[in-house]
Amino acid sequence: MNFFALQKQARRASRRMVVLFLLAVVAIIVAVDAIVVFFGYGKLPPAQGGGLDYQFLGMISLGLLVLIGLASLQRTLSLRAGGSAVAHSMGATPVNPDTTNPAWRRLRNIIEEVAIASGVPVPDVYVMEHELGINAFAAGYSPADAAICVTQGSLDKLTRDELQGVIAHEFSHILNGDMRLNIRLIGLLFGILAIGIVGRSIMYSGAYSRSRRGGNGAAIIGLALLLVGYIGFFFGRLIQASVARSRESLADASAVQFTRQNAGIAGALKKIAALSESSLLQAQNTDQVAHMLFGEGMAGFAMFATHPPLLQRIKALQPEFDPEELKAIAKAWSEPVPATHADAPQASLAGFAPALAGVQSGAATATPASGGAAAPGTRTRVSAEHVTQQVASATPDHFQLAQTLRKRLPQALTSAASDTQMVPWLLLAMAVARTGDARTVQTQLIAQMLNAPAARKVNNFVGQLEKLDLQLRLPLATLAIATVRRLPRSRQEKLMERINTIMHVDGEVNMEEYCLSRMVQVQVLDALKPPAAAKHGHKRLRQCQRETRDLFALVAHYGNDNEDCAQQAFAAACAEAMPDISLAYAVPDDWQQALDNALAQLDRLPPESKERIVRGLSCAIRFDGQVTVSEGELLRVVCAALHCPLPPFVRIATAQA
Amino acid sequence: MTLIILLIIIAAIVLYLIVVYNGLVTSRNGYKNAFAQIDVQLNRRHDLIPNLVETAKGYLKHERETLEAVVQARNAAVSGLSNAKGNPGNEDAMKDLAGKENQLTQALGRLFALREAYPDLKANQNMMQLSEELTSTENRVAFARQAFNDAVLTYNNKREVFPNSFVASMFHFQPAHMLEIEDPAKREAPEVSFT
Repeated sequence: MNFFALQKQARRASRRMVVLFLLAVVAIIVAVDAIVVFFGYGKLPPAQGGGLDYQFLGMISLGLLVLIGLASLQRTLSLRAGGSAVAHSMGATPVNPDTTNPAWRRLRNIIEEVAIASGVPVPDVYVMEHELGINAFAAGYSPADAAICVTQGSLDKLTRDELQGVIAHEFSHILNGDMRLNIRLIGLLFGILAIGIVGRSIMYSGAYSRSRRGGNGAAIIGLALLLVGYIGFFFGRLIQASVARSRESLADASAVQFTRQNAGIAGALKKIAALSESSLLQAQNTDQVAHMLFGEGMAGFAMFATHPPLLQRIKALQPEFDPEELKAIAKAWSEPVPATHADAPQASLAGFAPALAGVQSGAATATPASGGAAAPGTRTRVSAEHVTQQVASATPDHFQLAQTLRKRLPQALTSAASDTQMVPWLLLAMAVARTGDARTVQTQLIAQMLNAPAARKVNNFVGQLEKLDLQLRLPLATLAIATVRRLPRSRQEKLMERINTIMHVDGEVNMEEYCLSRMVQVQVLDALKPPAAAKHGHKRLRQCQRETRDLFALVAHYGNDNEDCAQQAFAAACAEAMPDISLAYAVPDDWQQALDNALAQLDRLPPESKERIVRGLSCAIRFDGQVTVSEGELLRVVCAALHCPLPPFVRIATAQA
Repeated sequence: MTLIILLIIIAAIVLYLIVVYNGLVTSRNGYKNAFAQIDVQLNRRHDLIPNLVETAKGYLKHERETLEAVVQARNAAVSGLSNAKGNPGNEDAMKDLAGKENQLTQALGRLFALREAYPDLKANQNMMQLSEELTSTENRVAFARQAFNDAVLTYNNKREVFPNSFVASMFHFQPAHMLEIEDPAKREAPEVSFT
């Protein structure tokens, strides 16, 4: 995107709008004159030829101009109070330069950074502590008396990069003189409205006046003024909203220019679009700052919207944006959890992290060129052929990928995975659910089966695993399994027993976590009983109909939010794997039991049949045309449990932007 | 008559030379001024590091080498900065400073990576604050550097276009060099993304 061109375009558009606005004022005056003439006033007496009385009309026009001018001036002056005054009137709390609150400290730092980037003096900083929507506004008449005000919701939900984008947007409003432009437009609008108000009072006084003849005339003129005033106000509002929208596009473009990245601001917009709190404000005087906000502050008609539609703004910043992403963001951020450490890339300013560990916020899914980490929301297209071809065939790309994945594994975890002392604890920790009530039960179980220091260690690992990228869980498990094989047999058996207990607790166990533990079990068992681990059996696919159905149904159910889609995905999978048999979609009640059974039985299929199962699985997963990272990882884990190792189907993107 | 015309032509040429010369001087001062901004922010960065090391020392008793590397890299960067301050835009000075700052960034990266193994250090309030200040300063350096590089670009463009290039070489306007410090945000291993 060429932001200079965008800026130029937006500026030209808003200049045209201002001209239009002034023309509207002229049109209003002409309209009033015309109405006056239509009702027979403003004409010269027949003695003087009966032409137009320009002097009279000129007086009326001048009177209107003065009326509009004075009303505008009065309104403008009342709005010209400095940014701090506006922020105070919105009920915001000042953030002092020496604040010790970490979130506020970071906010101030960000504002000072962007001030350097944009070359504008550092404005006063405010926080609206009672506003939970994601929003921010700039107020003030000139850069010198500007203030920037941020909602608590922004601090709670936006990462550093995203807030930087939001702040840069507000700085653009300061730098481009939008505040002044907007105050002028509000003033002019009020001037036009004033015509209507004056017209109304003339009409009433005329209607109730004693002299019938003069009263009628006054009433008609009053009505004319009233109509013109309100119609003018209506169109004025439309134009004003349109000016505001074009300034918003300009501000978005400038924000990219200041921060030299579009991921931050796009991420913030995505969060606004995804979350129910949106960007709405509760404060009374929101209309005063509506045009300086980052997102829409008041719900209302699209015609009067002060900001372009969110999706359009995101698309302008990231043409490849897919609205599907929003679902993952909504899921991750509707109930955020406290971040484990404040400077984690995904942690918000106030120290919250997305509920599902490993879910990247929009900011991390940068443009393809800059290559962000793969988020579960990230989508990709994978065909059944593509997946089956990749089973057990690693290309140089994959090795390179493995290297990067390995590098991204935290040191503490990799060393634990290669330490025979630590590895059982690590694997136990991996079996613990990341979220949900199952987790508490599982932690209690661990406390029962281990002594206190070991249990603490496990909990420590659970905490670290929570932050781990989904894609890194399988590689970590693979590393750990290699170490487990070096353990004495008795300890291996004991470990399997314990993992088994933890896996099979009641409650919300994530299917993918379950499968991961299951895979660990399978592989360790293989090591325990090498002869039993004959890689492929001689079972017939026809004999495994129930197992196949269960597996497909579970995967389809897991990958799709609504049952209809799941059913279709299931049907597609069956058609791919077993075209000659029709199976009915049914999600088994005890899915853990069903899955265990299915994986055990299907593992005994010959390779050709396994290939068909994998094809069917990939069909179910990519049914909606896309594969999320969590779906992809589930596929890999299931494949591993079936002894069909599947390399991560991802490609390397270099970090150069 | 010809004399007058000749005089007018000469006057025009001299006037032109003056305009070009002044333009070059203005943009040269422009990038020098832009470097002053970087100087402020880099100083801020260097000033933060002794505090950081002091805080980390208590926790990282067995990681003395890493800490010493940070201190050394910091001292080298301080000398590089004072050297570069004298002649901003000079190729050697800029490369030297960039190299030293990159080394400091790497040393800091190793120090911060250690935090993963020392949860107490990571949870330390002071450390968290310092790391936030350092992040912020690195962003500031990055933004100030953008401004400097833009100014250098403007100057170089002005210096190299025809016919300004004659004036530039006549009065020895040296080409200016951009400051290319690695962005700390990009110091991680190549990221992975789906096809």
